[in-house]
Amino acid sequence: MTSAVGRRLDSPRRSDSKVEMPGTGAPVNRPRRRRRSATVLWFSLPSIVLVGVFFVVPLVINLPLAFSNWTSYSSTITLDGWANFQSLIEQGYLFSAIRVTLVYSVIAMLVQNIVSLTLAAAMQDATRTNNFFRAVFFLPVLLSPLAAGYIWRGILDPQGPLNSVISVVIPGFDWAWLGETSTALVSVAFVDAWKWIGLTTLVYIAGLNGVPRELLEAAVIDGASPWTVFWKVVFPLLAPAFTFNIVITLIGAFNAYDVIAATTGGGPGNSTQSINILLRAQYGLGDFGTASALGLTITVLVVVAAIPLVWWLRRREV
Amino acid sequence: MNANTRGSAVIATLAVSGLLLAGCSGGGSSAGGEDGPVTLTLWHNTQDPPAVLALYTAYEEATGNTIELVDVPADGFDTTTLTKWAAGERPDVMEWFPAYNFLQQLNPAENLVDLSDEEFVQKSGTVYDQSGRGADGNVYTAITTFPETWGLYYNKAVLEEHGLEPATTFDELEAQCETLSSSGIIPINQAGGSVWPPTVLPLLYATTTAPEGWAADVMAQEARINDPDSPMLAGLEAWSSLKDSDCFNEDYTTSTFEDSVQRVYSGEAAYDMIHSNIASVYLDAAGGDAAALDAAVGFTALGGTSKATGVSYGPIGSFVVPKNEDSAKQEAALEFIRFVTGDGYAQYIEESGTFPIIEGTPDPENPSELQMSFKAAVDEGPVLPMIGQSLPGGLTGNNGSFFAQFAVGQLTAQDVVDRMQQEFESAARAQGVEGF
Repeated sequence: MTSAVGRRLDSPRRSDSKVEMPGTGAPVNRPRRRRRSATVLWFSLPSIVLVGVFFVVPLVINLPLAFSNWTSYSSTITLDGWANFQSLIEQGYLFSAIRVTLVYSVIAMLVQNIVSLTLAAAMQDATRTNNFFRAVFFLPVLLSPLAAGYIWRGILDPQGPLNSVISVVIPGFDWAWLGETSTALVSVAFVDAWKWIGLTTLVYIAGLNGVPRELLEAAVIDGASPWTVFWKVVFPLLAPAFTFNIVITLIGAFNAYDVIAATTGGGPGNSTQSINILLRAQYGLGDFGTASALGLTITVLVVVAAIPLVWWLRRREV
Repeated sequence: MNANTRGSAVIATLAVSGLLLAGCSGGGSSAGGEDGPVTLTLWHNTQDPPAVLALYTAYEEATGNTIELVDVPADGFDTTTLTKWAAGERPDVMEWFPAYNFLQQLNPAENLVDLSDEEFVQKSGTVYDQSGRGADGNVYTAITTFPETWGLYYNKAVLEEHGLEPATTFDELEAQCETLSSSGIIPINQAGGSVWPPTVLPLLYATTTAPEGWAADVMAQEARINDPDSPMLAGLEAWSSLKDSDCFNEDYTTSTFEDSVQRVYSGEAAYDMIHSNIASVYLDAAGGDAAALDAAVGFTALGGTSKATGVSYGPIGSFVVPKNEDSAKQEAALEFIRFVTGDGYAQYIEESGTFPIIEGTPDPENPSELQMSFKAAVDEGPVLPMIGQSLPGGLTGNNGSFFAQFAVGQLTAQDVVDRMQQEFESAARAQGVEGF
């Protein structure tokens, strides 16, 4: 965030590091800067190693495997061009799984962010009541996604509590939320959103509390309506929170697996068969090459979606 | 070294690196050295009944070795096992499906110990003519459990109240649906929530109506799975016909196989079409009371147009031994195989109450009625190995996902068999089957 406050805090550090010896052009504190750089590097090293070992290396290893004929049937692995992708397309798997993953991710992202922002606005002040409800809404974040999935599977059962409640208004209501192709995907996306709303709410609360009070007061004095205050003052200043929440929720949902596995297993039919659900099924068939191809598909999706999205959202930041 | 070979070498190196990275946690630990007791890691299905678990304990007591059990959930057992396998993990012994299509997924000639010369093979009659062998004809599985007998569990009281006899053909079954559904009973509980159970119906129909040698013809490419007269196509149409006759539960897309068990036991449903090894789940539903279960639930074989018995051998009590460079562990694993098929077998049969498949072993003293009905179904026959077991890919397509799409109208029956044919060809190519 490069807000006015942020810039004020940054400026002394920048000017301090650029002090030069008169007449020489050399920085006064180069040894200190070097020591500082070394310290930063040492502190970063564990993260660099972890990211390298657990993200970069598997990614690099996966790349050729996606184009190989690797199966459990044989220990010989050779390059096979685009055959894995071709096979996934011929079987009708690939585009269906991509569509499911994208729809699921967009629904989960929208629901999560809209509800979180509303909750954050309602619980912005750190009163005792708000603190209690912040903790309540954060509880699902602490739940295992599988446990959350199993709980919601029970809630959304045709004979489950949700339908029982609806039956009070509409007698005999017994909709199979997870069993109908028309509602299964939306339902599991809502479950995913419910699971992570507590986290994004906290980010929005922090963002809201970072908006300078004097700006809000000035806007009110100028006669701005509550909606204008939000739209013209709060919303632009919340941009960094939006960037973080939208990217995290969208990219997180691209990797959807656990909630879907626990609620529908990818069904009914293939209505909720996300890329990761399909990927695991391919492993189950011993088709490790096609599974790797699906892994690469997720990587490409994330890169293709994340980079332009982050670039566009960052441009909005004040 | 040409470019292709170099490319292969690079990929192989990367794959091995990946496996090494991923496989850090695999393999289990050994407690003993060359002369001391050995700890065997055994991947087992969480649905192992008490008698199988007792067999592990009996082996430990008999040898002084230790078995470290690694639970593999019954739900998604094959997928979970293969995922671990792909990551480079190897147990010392593991439960696995003995059927050809599953066994080939482990590349047995390269990864498993050949058990062909073990004594139990000679003493098992025709068992290994039906299952347990790889593409090279060698035996790689030690099968200890009576075959999975596919058919119908039924609620005795429900059928009696409605004056019905247990159905033995699909036509009889369909004819009973109206009587049952009109009095609020679910005729057949379909468990689409567990994905694979609904595939049983078309597979069983196809198994019991397929012309003799059909699977061999498909392998020889003289018949295709998606031919107009394909038994699989007929099986899918049989499913549709039963659905149109209101034979299924309304929640057939979400109901689980545990629901099917509960509903048949309680009398909410009349029939559950599945295999005999689910008996332990029925016993759980009856609170472990075998007499109560026998009083409530029976089993009958079911054929497409005439009574027949579809059979297969399941992973419960079927063991394979991955090759192991640790000779002490390898020997202990083989010792385990010899124990469960030899000295420990009679006790296992008595404790499980199931019928033996290894010669020279007495029948259990007091088998339950349910177990006797499984035995009767096999004895009466005709016994037919479940279709697809001998075909690469196994016709289930992604753990039944083709069928799941068919069941909700996303695919037609013809779409399903077209995709099965594609998957069969793809698996055959991967296995290096000649002509594909």
